[in-house]
Amino acid sequence: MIKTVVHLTVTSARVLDAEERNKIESVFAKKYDDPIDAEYLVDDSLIGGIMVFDGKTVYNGSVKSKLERLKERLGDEK
Amino acid sequence: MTLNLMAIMGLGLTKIALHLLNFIILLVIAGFLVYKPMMKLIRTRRENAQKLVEDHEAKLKEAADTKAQYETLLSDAEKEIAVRKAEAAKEIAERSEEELAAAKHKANVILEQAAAEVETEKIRAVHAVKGEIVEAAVMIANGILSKEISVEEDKKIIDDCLKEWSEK
Repeated sequence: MIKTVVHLTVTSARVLDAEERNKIESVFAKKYDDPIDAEYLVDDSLIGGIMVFDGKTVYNGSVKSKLERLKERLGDEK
Repeated sequence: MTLNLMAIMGLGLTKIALHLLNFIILLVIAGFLVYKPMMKLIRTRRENAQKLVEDHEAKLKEAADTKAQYETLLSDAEKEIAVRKAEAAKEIAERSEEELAAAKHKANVILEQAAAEVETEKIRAVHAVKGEIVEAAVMIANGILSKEISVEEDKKIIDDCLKEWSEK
């Protein structure tokens, strides 16, 4: 049986070490039950955390997105 | 003596009697020709004068009655004028009160609208200021976090994200 490879684009605020990359790839491999092919990018505007894009869905765990959500929540409160 | 005197003057009793008779006849004739017409004329003139006086008095009375009527009409008219004046004054006063009340109501409506607008503007201003404060707070947090997050802390953040995504 031929398994499709899931292409991930992982963006982080700093260069991730091998241990971190393995963790990320194992989580998504279990999630999709498919082999993972990950591309790693660095964007310091994220401040911290990571952002993962699997071709369809964006998983945004960056500090920047958390701050933006906080800003929205504070702006909506009356 | 008298008889002698009469004889000297050539008067006799017959002549005197004739003169007297003449006189009486003259009187009678004068009475018929002059006295009676004159009296009739005087009576007629008196009657006419009386009639004139009576007519004059009747006219005076009529004039007095007419004057009294006009005075009554005038008095009634003055009373009616006074009543109408009072009614008009009352109507003007009522209208003034109504207009004053309407003006007051309008002023109150304007005041309420202005107060509502002020309140809306206040809320808008508060929201704007709040937005700016939030913006500033986030920017400050951004600045602080970008300097303060250590590698260990960043690893912890990543682990938390991975845990959350694996549970979904």
